[in-house]
Amino acid sequence: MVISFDFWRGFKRSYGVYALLILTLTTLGSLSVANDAIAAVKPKQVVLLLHGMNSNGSTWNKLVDNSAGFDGQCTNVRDPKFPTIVIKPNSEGVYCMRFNFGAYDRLSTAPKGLDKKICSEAGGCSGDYSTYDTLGKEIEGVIRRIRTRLGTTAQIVFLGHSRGGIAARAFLQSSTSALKVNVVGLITTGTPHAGSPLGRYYTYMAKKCLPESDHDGLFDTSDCADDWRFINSFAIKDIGGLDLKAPTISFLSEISPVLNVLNAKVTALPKIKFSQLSYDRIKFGCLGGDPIDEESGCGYDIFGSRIRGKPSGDGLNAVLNGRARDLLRGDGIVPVNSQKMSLLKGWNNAVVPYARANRVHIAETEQTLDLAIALRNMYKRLGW
Amino acid sequence: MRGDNTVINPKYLTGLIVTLLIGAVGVFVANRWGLPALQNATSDVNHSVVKSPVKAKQVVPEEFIESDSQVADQAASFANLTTQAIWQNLLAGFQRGEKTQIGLENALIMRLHKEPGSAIYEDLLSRFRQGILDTTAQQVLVSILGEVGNYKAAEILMRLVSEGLLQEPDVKLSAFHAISKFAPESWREHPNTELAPVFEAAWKIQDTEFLSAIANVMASIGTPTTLDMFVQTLTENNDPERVEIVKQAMTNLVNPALIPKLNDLLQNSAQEDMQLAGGEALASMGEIEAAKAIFKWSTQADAGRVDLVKDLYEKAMNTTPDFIDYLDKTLPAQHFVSDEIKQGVNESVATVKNGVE
Repeated sequence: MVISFDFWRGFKRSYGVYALLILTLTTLGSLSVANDAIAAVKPKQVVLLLHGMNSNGSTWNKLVDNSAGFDGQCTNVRDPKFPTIVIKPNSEGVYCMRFNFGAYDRLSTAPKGLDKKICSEAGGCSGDYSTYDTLGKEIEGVIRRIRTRLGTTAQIVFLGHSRGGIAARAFLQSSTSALKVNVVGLITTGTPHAGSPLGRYYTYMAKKCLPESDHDGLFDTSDCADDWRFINSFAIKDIGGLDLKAPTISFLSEISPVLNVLNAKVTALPKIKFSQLSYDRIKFGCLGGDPIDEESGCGYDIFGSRIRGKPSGDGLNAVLNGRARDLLRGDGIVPVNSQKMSLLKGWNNAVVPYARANRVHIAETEQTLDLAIALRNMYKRLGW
Repeated sequence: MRGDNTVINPKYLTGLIVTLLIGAVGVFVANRWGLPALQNATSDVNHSVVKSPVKAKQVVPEEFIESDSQVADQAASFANLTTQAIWQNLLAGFQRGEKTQIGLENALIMRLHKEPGSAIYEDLLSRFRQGILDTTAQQVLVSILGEVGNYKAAEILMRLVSEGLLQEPDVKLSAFHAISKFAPESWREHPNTELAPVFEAAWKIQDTEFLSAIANVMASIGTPTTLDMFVQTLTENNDPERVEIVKQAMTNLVNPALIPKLNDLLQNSAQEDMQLAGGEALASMGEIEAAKAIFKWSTQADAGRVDLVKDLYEKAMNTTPDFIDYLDKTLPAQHFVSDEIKQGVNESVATVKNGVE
């Protein structure tokens, strides 16, 4: 059944009302345009949280839930409902966004890990099987989605933990992305800008102990057998939060060619605001998690745990590469100097540094006070 | 009536137009005041949520999710397959040695999310019991359960764990990741309380490798029952590894409703471990009321507790920056039973305040 009416007859009788309708709609339209103009004047302010290796967006929960952070408001940009979901800012008017890296981990072109290990998890492997290029590409895709909801003028500050800071730099240093224009600040915490000695362990294993099947005998007491037991142990994965077979370990090495290439192009960074949080007191190899040992002061210690696994002597020597362990103090995985992007060769940007003492690498995302101070100062510098 | 058409009497037209006008003005005013009368696609406040075709947290590669229409296309490409057919295709792929079947995996995740009573869950469990899946297939299936993230998926995953069916190191790592996916993404919006009984039941398993992951999910959900179980473990104190896992997991409690119980542990426990666990949990919670409980306890603490007081204060200030403001206002006039404790507190405040350049 079709509803219709005699249009012309009706129009003649009601032209006055029509005039009123047109006038009203025009007024409403003008007000909407004015409204949009006001919105265009003040871009939306966004903090994008970037997690590190073997981690995910929930690593930021304590900061997100805190009143000094984001009041419990933080949107997963990869949520399939993102195009329509309600997005709220925190009490300061700042929008928090986060996502899980790993969208490229399972492509056929993704790098393989030790013993040709690939990522076999639906949803990806936290970006641990991605290159710096693809991590940067993921960030680009995320910014594209943010722009669809918060406007093309959205201003974004990256807060990157560990490899998240490198991924941010990979995006910012890329010559191809036009979306860099949205990024106004970068804060890194515990990021191995100059790599970690732990990455040398990957190289050692790749050279000396492949394939794993040659060293997995129950009674095999060789160094390589010890090393594979360590890599496969519960402690290094669950307490240390490290999958040492993943190629990202190699990419984060202090002798990583891909990291060197990225660092050689550090001058390509845009002129935005930079801050770096660094920690300097924890002995290298101290991963936290376990009860703190009074003597070593470091929880689970890969150099000397009596109850947990540890690498072979040769493996540890390869990691130290002739240096005293004490010279590598930092957050247990990343020496303090490596956490400072300002020390990279060719660096020519102002950086606000924040240094604290005793924080193990895996717990850096939970340091709400440190992060809140760095964020507040960044907001201030940006005029937010 | 003219044929099939219904004619609106012109005499009602004026009234119709006026009604439309009033409606248009109403919608405009409502939008101006932020009420969700009608929304445009890019508005960021008060959206009426549209049901999504995909429920998983993150299951589609960037190439697919760049465009939401591509998500719909992908979903549509499996629309004609039954859930059972998707499952059988996935299994056939495993048998052919295929390492990545992202489209099928995503389709299965979507279906399992919609069909919590699906027979696939039990079939999956049965295939693990038969030991016919290679390492890659086990990793994929375990991670699918994590991505589905509902009660049934949690139950099956915990049965895999409790029956000792996950033995390969790489599968265990995938299982740790999958278990962590059941922790609430945003506790305030959805604390996942409905999942707590599954993990509370799994807490009794003997395989200690999984206990830490299970305890952390339990704590992040944070039901009173979970806290009772943790306290019982500490009270019995007959399994050192489990005790350490509980102490660490309790630092992940975020439910403010647990503050009175934790406060009771801190104030009244005779056992050192329990008092310490209660204090650490309060200090780590990130809630000002939890930090105030530590403050109140410290005013009555004797001098022998100075190291613990300093440790808890430093932690509480780090997790709860508002606590520093509270101390600035409250500390100078506050009487402490022990002068040493008050001095220790002042030192901790100074340390934290001076700790950041």
